[in-house]
Amino acid sequence: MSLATEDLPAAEIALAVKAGAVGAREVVTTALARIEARKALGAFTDVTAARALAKADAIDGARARGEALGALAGAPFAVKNLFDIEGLPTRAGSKINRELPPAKADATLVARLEAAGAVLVGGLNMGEYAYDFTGENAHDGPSRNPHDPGHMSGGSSGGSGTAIASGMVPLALGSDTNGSIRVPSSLCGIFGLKPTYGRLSRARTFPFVASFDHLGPFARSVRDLALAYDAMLGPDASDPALANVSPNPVAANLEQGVGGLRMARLGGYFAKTGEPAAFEAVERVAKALGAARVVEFPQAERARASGYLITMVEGAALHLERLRKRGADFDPDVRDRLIAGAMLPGGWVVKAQKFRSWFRHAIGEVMKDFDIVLAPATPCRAPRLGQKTMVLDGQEMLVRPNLGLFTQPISFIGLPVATVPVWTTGERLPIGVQIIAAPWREDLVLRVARALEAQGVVSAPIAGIG
Amino acid sequence: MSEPVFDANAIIEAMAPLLGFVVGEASRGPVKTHLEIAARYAALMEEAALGDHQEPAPVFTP
Repeated sequence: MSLATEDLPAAEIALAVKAGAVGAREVVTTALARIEARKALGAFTDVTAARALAKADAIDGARARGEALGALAGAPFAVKNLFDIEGLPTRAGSKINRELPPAKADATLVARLEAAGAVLVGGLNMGEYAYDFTGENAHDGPSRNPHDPGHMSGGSSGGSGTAIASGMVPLALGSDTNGSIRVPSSLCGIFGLKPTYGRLSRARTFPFVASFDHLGPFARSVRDLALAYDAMLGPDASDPALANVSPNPVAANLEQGVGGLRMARLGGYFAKTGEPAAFEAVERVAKALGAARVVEFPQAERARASGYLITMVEGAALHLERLRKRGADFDPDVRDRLIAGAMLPGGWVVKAQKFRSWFRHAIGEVMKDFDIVLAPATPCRAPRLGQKTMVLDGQEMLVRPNLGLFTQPISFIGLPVATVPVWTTGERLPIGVQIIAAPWREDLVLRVARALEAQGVVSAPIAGIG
Repeated sequence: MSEPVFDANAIIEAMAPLLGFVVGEASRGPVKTHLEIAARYAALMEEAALGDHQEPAPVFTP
């Protein structure tokens, strides 16, 4: 009897491959078939089938020779197309970048996952140059929400969300500058980890805002997030933003539970400007954790404003030359934000960086009294594809920038966050909650996420697709 | 000395040539909208009480 590997988490695939219950080639072939069958969802922009099958054969060969296999042996994964994949141009969601020469080597994190036995099966759709929270792409089409394909996947790592929620792969990587892991995790109903700023190497990925760019994994189980995270840890001289901190593997302590942890919900800014579903999800998670207290991050609105301005200016600076010479080849929605960013006074961004320093200190003081704080991941469930505006607390606002209004103040100071998916009976679409800790405490956010998963409070089912 | 005045059209007219941008008619409205959002956020940030000795976050370590 054949094992239905396409629905398994990466950890179970690896166990089955190690035990010889299934071959890596069979796992990869099955994943490739599902990717093809569900391509209308717009998750993948490149499928690296030949490479994946060769890698799978190498794993099967290693097992046949009695060699030890890695923690992710045979598990298929895919990466947002701003990660370098050897032999492919790194398009970063753009039309312009696909004219670049092929990458000469894989991104560090791709190489590390493969060293742990995972098998890269392709590159994933994303919002152009990562300046997006919708998952819509003007050149490649939208990555659709598998739970309702007329709705957004969220962005900018939209393809990552679509691929995981539709069961194409158990593991994916994305980037998060202001929320681009956490927004698709929320809208697609999956688990996502944005580690501490400076924790994981960004080497050989296309940047957006150097001050805020993070990379991290998506999965349908917390254990898979932990295994991927552990495999990606380590120093890398190729990323100057990587912090000189000791690696902190988390998988071994994932089941420690939440006993003794000091937890609270974030109030103030994080308890307004959203639909009731966003706050009900936080309430449900807080209740399950026994987190009765409410605490505020002071001046969070100003943190969001400052992050927004730094993003506009740094993002524009990155693309100035392309805006001059290739303006017509941008997605107009992205181009016009970048043009505006190029026109802002320099003093604004310096003051925003000063405020960032102040906010980091202020939140450090708050977090002396708490191990974990909770906040909504998005202000609403997935909007419809093409929707430009939404109304929150009676104010009409743009969808594209404001899906990240709860994520932006957190990544502004680089705190680690696990996003967990919450479902409501009768609702087709999920919504996420951010589990936030002090810098470098990825172990805590994943422990709490795992405890919630074990209780059945949060889950990431594969979308029912006909 | 005068109070700061925000005029998105004037910013576009002044800055586009300096930056080498052509802001077409279809772009002018969206660019203005984004400038207006930025100005609103900048006003909020301007009110932050930060001293002269507050270091910006990205401190360079040689």
